[in-house]
Amino acid sequence: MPTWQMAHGGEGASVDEPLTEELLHELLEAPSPVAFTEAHGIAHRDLAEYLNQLLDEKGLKRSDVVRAAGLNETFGYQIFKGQRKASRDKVLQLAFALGCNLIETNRLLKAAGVNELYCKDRRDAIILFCIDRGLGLQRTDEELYRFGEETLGA
Amino acid sequence: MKTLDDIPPVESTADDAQVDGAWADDARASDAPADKVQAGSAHQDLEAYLGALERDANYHVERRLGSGEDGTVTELVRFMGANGSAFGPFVRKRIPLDAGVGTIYEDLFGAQRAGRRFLHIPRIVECYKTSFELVVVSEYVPGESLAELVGRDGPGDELARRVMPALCEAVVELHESFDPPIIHRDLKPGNIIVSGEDVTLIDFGIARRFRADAGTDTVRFGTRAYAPPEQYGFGQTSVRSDVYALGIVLVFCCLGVTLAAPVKEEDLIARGVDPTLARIAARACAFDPASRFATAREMGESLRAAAASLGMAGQQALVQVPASPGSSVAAAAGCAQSDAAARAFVRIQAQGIHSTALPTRANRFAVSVPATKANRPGALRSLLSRTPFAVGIAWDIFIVICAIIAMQAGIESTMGPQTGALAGKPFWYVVAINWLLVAPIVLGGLYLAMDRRPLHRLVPALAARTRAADARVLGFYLICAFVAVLAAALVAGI
Repeated sequence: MPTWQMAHGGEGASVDEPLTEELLHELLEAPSPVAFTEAHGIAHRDLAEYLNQLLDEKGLKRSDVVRAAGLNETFGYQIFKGQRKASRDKVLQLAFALGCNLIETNRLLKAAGVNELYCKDRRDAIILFCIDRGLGLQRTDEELYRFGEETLGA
Repeated sequence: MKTLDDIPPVESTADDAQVDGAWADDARASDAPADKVQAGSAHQDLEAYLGALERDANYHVERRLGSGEDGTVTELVRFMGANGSAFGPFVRKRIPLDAGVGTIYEDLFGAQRAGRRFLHIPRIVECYKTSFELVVVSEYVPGESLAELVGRDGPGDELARRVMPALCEAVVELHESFDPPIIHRDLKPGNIIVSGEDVTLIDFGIARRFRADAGTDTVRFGTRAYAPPEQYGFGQTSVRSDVYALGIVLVFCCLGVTLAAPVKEEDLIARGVDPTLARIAARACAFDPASRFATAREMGESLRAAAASLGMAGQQALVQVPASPGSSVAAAAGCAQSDAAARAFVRIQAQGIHSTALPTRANRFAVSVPATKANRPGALRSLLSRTPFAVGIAWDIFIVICAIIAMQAGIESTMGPQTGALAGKPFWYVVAINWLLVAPIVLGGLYLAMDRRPLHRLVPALAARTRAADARVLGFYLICAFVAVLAAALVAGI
């Protein structure tokens, strides 16, 4: 947890002057207090809550996201309502559809109660890379296939 | 001891290697010309990434070098090969992703994988993301930090004159090798490694690319005293922010202390700093960025001039980093004293092959040329850069004489009776042809043929322009002038 430290500027400052943190500024800059508490691991969300929060933040429509994720419409609706649980792969498909970055994806996985992306697992590593590069679900499945790993989609 | 180049990273064959880090999605979309090319290079990058992950386990930590406030862990590591051989040491930084910093390392890594070599930036061996961290493995730069150097040798004008020009050169390389430039934002004695004549910049944790449209940067600034006002959120950081930090570093070299703003010339002189250096420092640390030196290059030139005026032997003219060219040729500095150096330049083969040798650090007159989309440098350019400075001045004087003669001939021709194609045409037409078209062609051509280095010294504002840019302006003007004269002639019924 980063701490807020005042650096001692002025004459004779020591050689090992530490890096200054602006926690307050970060709080003011965050898009919402929720985003700030997320960043510092303060809150715990469940899947539906976080999904809807992401929809909000990114200004997307649920129906578009469910379609882009390649999920059954009813099934997707129920996930967003918290009525059903989603498997890890389904959550990843939603992450792609939402355009999540690495951090958001990991939070999503955690909220769903499944393992976060583990870079030592080859399949996860490929997915990690594709998310980071913003390659999209289709390209990711192509790459997974090329490397002989199980694809995400149906 | 094996060199860095024996480590088995995958060769990058992507010519349009994506230099921007993964955070800049939209920038990337405009880079690739065709979907296929992008797909191909992404797949290769993915292979390289998987390879890097496999190698991760082979890096053994020798000792921890430090940990940052944001969770960054810096370690000294060695690479243990499968057959028991050891490479290293290297410096490995593990930067938490949610800190949102360190993206510059990806830019640097991408540039180096594409074949570019830097003299003042450490070579990055690995750069990849795990689920939580950005892992950056870079070469271990031998030498001592500027802080240690000042501690050992003692501060003073002498040390400042010795170190600062080279430091400015390093910062110039950082700024000019990328478009938009990389702003270091944490230039301080602890982040500057000096080894003999060579200066290396380290710790790009909070560096960022310059963004012209940013109102204010998100604040994650470095050490308080070295950060200019705009880095506190009063505006946007730019190359002038690094100039500010260089000013504070200059004062540090002279006095051994880190002064807080404001830095006043009188204060420095009262404390025993040489007046010229004091003036340079005060200008660099001006509150308003517009008052500072526009670039680190300008500041470096001023520092060299200050050193030269005190008869410092062996000072090199600031090396020109040509703005255009492809990836291969290094150009030598053109200074009258540098005959031997001018002959010694290193030719660097840089098409993404990792097995080339690093440019020898001792050869500080060689500068690796940034690989941009523009044309390759021909043999002509390297020939031009190799000619001694004095010859350049003589050539320029010769051209000026030619220009004067040409102008004289032009005046005579305009005033006297017209023969040939212009006979019998109205006077205004003769003047237009001679002075709006022919004269710009002749004089423009002569200007483009000049050796630009003496020009840069005379008129620093010209240093930012390239020959190609000037040629484009001239061409554009000629087209406009031709059309205008033609239209006027038609209207006048000639």
